[in-house]
Amino acid sequence: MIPTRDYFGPIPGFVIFWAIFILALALFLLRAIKLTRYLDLGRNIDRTDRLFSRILAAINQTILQRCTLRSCSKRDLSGIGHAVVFWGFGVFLLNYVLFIFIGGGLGLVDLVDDLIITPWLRLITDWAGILIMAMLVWGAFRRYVTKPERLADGKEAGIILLWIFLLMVFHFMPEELQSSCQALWWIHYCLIMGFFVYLPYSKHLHILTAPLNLFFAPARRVGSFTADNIASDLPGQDIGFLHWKHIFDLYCCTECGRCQASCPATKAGTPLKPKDMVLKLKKYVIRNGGELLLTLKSPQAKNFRSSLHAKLAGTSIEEEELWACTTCGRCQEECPVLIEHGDRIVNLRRCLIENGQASGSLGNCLESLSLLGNPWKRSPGERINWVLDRNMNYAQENKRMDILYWVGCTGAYDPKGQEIAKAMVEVLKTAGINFAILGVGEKCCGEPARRLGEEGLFQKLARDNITALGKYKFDRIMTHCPHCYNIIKHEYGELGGKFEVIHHTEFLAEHSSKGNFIFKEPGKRVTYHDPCYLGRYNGLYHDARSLIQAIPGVELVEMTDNKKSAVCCGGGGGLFWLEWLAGERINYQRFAQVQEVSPQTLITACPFCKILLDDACRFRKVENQIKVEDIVEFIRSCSLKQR
Amino acid sequence: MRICVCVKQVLFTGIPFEIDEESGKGLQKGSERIYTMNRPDRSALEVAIQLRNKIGGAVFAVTLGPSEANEVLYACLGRGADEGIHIVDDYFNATDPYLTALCLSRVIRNLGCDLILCGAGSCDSNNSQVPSILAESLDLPQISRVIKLKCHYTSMTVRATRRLSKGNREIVEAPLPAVIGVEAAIAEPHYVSIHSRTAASRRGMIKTHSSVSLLEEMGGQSPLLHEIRQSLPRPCPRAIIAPDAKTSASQRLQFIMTGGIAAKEDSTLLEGESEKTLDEIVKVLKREQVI
Repeated sequence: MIPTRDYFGPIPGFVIFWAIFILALALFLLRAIKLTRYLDLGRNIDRTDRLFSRILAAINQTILQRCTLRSCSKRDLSGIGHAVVFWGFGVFLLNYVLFIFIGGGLGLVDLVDDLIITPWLRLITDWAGILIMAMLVWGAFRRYVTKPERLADGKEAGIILLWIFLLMVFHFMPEELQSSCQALWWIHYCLIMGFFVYLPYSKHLHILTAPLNLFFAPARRVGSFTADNIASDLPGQDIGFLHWKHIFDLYCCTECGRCQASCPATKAGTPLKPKDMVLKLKKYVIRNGGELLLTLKSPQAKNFRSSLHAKLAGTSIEEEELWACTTCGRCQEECPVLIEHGDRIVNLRRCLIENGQASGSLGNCLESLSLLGNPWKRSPGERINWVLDRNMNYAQENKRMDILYWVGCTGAYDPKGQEIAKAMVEVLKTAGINFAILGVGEKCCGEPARRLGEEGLFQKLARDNITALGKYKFDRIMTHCPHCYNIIKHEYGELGGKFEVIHHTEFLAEHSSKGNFIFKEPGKRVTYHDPCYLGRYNGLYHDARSLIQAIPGVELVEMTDNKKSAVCCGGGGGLFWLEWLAGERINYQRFAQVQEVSPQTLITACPFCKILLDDACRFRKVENQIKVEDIVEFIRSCSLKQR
Repeated sequence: MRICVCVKQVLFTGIPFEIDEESGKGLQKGSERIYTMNRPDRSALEVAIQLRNKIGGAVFAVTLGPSEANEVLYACLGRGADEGIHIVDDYFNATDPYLTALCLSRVIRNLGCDLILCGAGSCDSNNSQVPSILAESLDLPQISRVIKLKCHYTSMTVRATRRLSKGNREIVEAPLPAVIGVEAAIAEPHYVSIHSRTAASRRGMIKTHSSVSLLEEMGGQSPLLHEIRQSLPRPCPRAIIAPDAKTSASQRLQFIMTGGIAAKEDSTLLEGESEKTLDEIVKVLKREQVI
């Protein structure tokens, strides 16, 4: 049976076949080209370095389906369903190419039938079809009956499930039925081509855009932030903030809702909902893209991109959505297609800041940073007020140190932070480490400025710090603050500051493994809260735990959401300095999880986490039952005189 | 609408100060000098920018001060001002408000402004004289201590709400052009990003004048005020009521630490039937001006 060899009136079947094909291709390309042109609304950025690892990552995530399989858990096995449908569809694609296009379209049925692989392919395809249908039924059951939280009602999802199901039904139609009714073959063909045309009009476009997104992904899954290029100041040059990859991200969203289900700001009732933000921006870009491009190309386009992005920030989405993000990174950790939520939010924040829309607590924080070099509104001279020891080691230009202890602003100015710094110094001194602190020469690392969108301030502070650090000779910088750690390690490099940085948990674990601590047996039940900037951003989960477990008589219990899925304390992204305007605070929500495991001590490794979770502890009136301590304070309280 | 804003660069007063032995001036502790724009001036700038964005026109930022004072002009330009004017002064170091106002008026008179905004006073010298003397030398009406402003450009009038004492307010109207001295509470200043300030400094839209040459044009004035010395607040002892000796030691300590519970004046406990007490309650409420 070769339907394409028949004649429909005077027209041979081949012609109709390829005419439909060309029509479908044209409709597809019409939309695809439009979407590609809209990428020009973002500025340029290079994502073609490390070509080999990019290709490898794309293949690994797509072909091996790591994208969805990695998020499979006891609560959510849908990744398996997706993987099966994906591989099955791969088989079907081969099937279609061979039997419908080469066999039918080109009329080479005999050639195809005589291939050795054909009977095997037919067999595999049949099994694939059965599995796909089973997965689709399961998918529909999940979506419409059990209704998991992260899947919102979407008619697109229903259409796609139905469409693929129909394609399977048509595949299983017996030969006799198809021979007797030629129309069925053509309907099947039209369904296939129709699906292809439907792709760029639906979220199913992700089957083409997601592998590309994985190719263009940043080096780190969580924690890659792009600098703006405004400092390359040619007067009048229109630079803008969002880059093309952010626009491309919008085309990749599969509406799976994993980001929204794990976002602490969404749970706390703020206007921020990561998936909704993506979809709102996507709708805005697709609806207005053509008009916006015209204005971009016109001669009056001075500063157009900046104002466009400001418009994106203020029109399609609300400003409050942008200011509610703690940059905890859970959305990016969960996203199967690696959409860069954090970077996009920071870039949109830049629009608002540069447009002069920062006031209130945000304005105060930035004002304090730019004027005084710290966000606490304290004078630079008071940075060493916490130092009680008259013999404190301050960095000297000719003296080499093993460790430069970076105290950070919270460690210097806030009483709870100062407790951490004092404990750390005590440990360092007792251990006889050759260390020093910068003292008043230290300025804020600039992390809150950068995350809040004040890139110029970050670069100014960073450059000042790099100059200050450059005067001294040391092996490594050690800090107790994961924010300082992360930014000096990863983001000072492109400004000329390449340093080896370790976090104090790494240092303490190193020190402990050499047998330098003598612990008593405190007999305590403790739990450990993973800071976002240590855990998700830098993969440091093990050191703190090994340190705690090295203490005899200490029972370490884990909270429900820990390690990669640890819940934020609410202090990141500059939110520590902003007024909280929404529902239940993020730190109170995390503290509820702490209370579930009833520890005697909650151990943290970040000054923001310590302060916010301690605040939650007092709010819940359990400060006499649960003590909130930094790990160095805990270690010090559990150790006898060290060697 | 052409609006002129007078701004001043001052030492940031939010950090500890000490008296410099040599000059007798109050300076920040430490070697680093941290300058900022006077807070009421920042509010004045904000009012000007918002007015300009609404009605259209131009905003001119004028300052008198040493060469470092151009930083505040960059901040103004970064916030959206159209032009900056710097009267460079190393002569009387802005210690004499009369001379400051004269120099400002000399420059502002040529701008053709409809509205001149100043901060009501500066947080370092706290003279609050410049807006008044400026208005006099420009022969314009002045309104001081303004916390709310409404400009009617078509009728060229301005309606201002002034702060009187104890929460009382006064609304006045004046024809434009006028000089308005605004208080810090009139507007929430917006943060100006480093990028905008840097871009402003590169755009080079600042005209400079010299205070000395301006004063010479006016016949050569010399300062009438000379600052002799500043002093810092001395520590104020707080009176602590001695607790009742009949109570226990722990209660006495508690009393001292919490400052005791002082009996309120005019506190009345009304007892009796509801009819009678109702009248008393109404009387008390009327007396306290609640109703």
